[in-house]
Amino acid sequence: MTVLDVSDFHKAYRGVVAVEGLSFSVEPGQILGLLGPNGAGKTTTLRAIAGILPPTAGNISISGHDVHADPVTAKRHLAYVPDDPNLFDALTVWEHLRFIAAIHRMDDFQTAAEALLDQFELVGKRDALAMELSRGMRQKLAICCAYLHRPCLILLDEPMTGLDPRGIRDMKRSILTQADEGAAFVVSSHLLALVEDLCTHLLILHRGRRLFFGPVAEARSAFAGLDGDLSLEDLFFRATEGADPAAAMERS
Amino acid sequence: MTLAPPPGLRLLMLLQAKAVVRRAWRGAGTLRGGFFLFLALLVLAMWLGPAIWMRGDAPPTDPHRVRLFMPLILLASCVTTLLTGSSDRAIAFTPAEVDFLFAAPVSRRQLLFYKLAKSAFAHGLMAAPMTLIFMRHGGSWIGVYLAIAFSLALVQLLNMAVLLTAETVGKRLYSRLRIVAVAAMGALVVWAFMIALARQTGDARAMLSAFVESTPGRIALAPFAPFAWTLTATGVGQLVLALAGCAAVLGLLVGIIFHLDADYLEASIVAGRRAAERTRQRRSGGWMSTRGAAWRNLPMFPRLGGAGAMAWRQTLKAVRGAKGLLIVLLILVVGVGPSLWVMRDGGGSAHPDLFGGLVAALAWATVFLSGTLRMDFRGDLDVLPMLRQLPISPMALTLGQLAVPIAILTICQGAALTMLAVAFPVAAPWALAAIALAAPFNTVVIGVENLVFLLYPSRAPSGPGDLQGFGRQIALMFLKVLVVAVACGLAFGAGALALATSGRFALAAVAAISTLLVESLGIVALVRWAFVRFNPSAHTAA
Repeated sequence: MTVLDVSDFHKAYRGVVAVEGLSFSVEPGQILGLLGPNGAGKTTTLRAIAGILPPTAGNISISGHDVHADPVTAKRHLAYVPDDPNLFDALTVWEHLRFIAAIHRMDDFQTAAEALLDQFELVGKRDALAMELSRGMRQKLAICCAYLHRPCLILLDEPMTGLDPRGIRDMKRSILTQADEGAAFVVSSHLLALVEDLCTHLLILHRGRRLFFGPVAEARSAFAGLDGDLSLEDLFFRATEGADPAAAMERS
Repeated sequence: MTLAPPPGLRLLMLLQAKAVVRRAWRGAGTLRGGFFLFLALLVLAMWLGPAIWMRGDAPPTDPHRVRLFMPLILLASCVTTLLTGSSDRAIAFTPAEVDFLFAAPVSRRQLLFYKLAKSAFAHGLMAAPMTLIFMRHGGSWIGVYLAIAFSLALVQLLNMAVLLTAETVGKRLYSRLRIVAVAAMGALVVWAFMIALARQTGDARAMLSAFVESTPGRIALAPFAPFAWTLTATGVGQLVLALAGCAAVLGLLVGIIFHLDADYLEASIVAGRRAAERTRQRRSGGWMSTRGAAWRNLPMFPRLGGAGAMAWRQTLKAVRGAKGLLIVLLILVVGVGPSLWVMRDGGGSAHPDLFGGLVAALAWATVFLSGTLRMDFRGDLDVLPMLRQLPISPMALTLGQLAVPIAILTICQGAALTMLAVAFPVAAPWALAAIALAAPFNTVVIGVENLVFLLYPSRAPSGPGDLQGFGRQIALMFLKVLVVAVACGLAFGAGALALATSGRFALAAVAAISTLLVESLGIVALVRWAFVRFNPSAHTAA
């Protein structure tokens, strides 16, 4: 069953089009890399999928539930970690996890929460206030909160920001593990090497329109004139610099 | 429709309430934390104490007057909040709430319920100390407490209802509806005002009474009347009736809010962003907004070892935020200058009572502007690491950083003192001496502000319950006042000594100015030292 289905999604802010006619879907176990230059509409797309922004037109459904028409059910299957996540400064690390468990009506969360704290090396910070955490630790806590209720769709906006090399490695591993267990990911990042390492599929946006959507392997062949062994970086710049979104849509 | 918040939201409210208590007592066991907590409690006791102990001494306010004017005050509060844009807060959630709750499996109505419940808790807490202050205007403790708590809720609910209506009907229709509503309210006010004028009493209070008691005045103020009745209720029966009126008004607003079920999430994010922007502006430049002011430009100042570039940057900040600054200065000039001119007597001198008022206004403006003109280190906390790595000497950088607020403050005082000299020719020598003293005095004041900031950099208290943060602010304020008082005392002492020994006013002024000059140089050197020892990694965001 399709976990995420975005169909003809449009979003405009006071007449300014941020995203136009975007359609794509994500299956269980897939990791979709969301790429695009600044202002391409990546964060708007993620926020609309998370049910934070209403679409101007189009439909977004998670596990068959429309995010706008039936938001509570749709959001039960979802976790969203924004770029530079904000935490409740006066709450401790453990209280964040307790709150997330309660909001998702998890009866027994302790074992899973402790395992996550262990995995992300936050055991020693269990009783620390969020305001006392470093940038990287805050990011790790936000990820722990996202994983805790085992959602089937996880949206990550620049997930590696603030993490040290070990944190990045742990994060990559955790994404792959969760995907192996059936979770679907949408990962927005400017780190092309990370996307290349992790993602099974790509969605390239430019000025709010889709330039490419499909498996990573097909991305190179979609852009005529690119050799098969070119890096994702070459592909990205070829796709977005001087790209004609309309022509690119036909290509993908 | 499901209104009751799910267990997760209930737990969040509980944890946040617990956090308020924890914030108040955290670190209280340490000497420093305990001292700040003690100081905060002492100030609170000094603030509230007189209201408790002297409640029997002060004559109670006539209940009729309270019932007459409180609805008017409430109406004014609601209208002001709606017109000034601070109504945004009614639907604004904190950044953490946006990130965690907007994508969580809770309905919009449940989120609103959560927000209202949280606000009700805050209103309940705020109403407690306010009850002590307003007690003499009311009939009973419980009546005053409930009237205040419900009045705070009324302002919030009305704003929320208006904003959610705007989201539901669309911005364009909302603008039209607002025009109709404002026009209707305006017509009522004009009608009531005409009636009041017809009485021709000449007494402002009597006219206001006539305005409030007229038919259109009663119609416009009817929704606010039960709150005044609650405040002044003396018997149980009166209180129950008044509370029923309050409940009806608040219930109607709550009903509208939940019935609309507006999709407010996007508007809420925008409101939250605006609130964050306002906070950032307050931190970096006081009340000055630089939005849309990029076109106001200035040529680069002479380099002066780097000090010129620093002063240019700060002046640009002042120029781009000049709208607010000009308004303040305009109020001072329009308010003080013509008043003095009009009140000149036959001898060409203004009324002596004005002298004290003008000096007090000058002192207040100095305190206000010195705290508000943050075009120096205080407004640059987030960019201090960048300043530290600039290839200019710390002294040049310090001078450039301090120059602009000192100059603005000195110009303002110079203008006010000149007016004083013109209005009171007798006081002209004193005014001229004060003008000469202004620049070194302002260097001391702004220097002390920056010195204390660099030694103990802090933002505002981190949230409700941060009593230690409040105590810390009080301690720092006390420290600043103490240092400025000692500096001024020494200058005054030097002047007095010179006057006593020589009997010449000019010599006394020179002695005082020289002392202040030496002190100001010392303060600038101390600010430079504090800047050099400032540790960005300990005091700025990671």
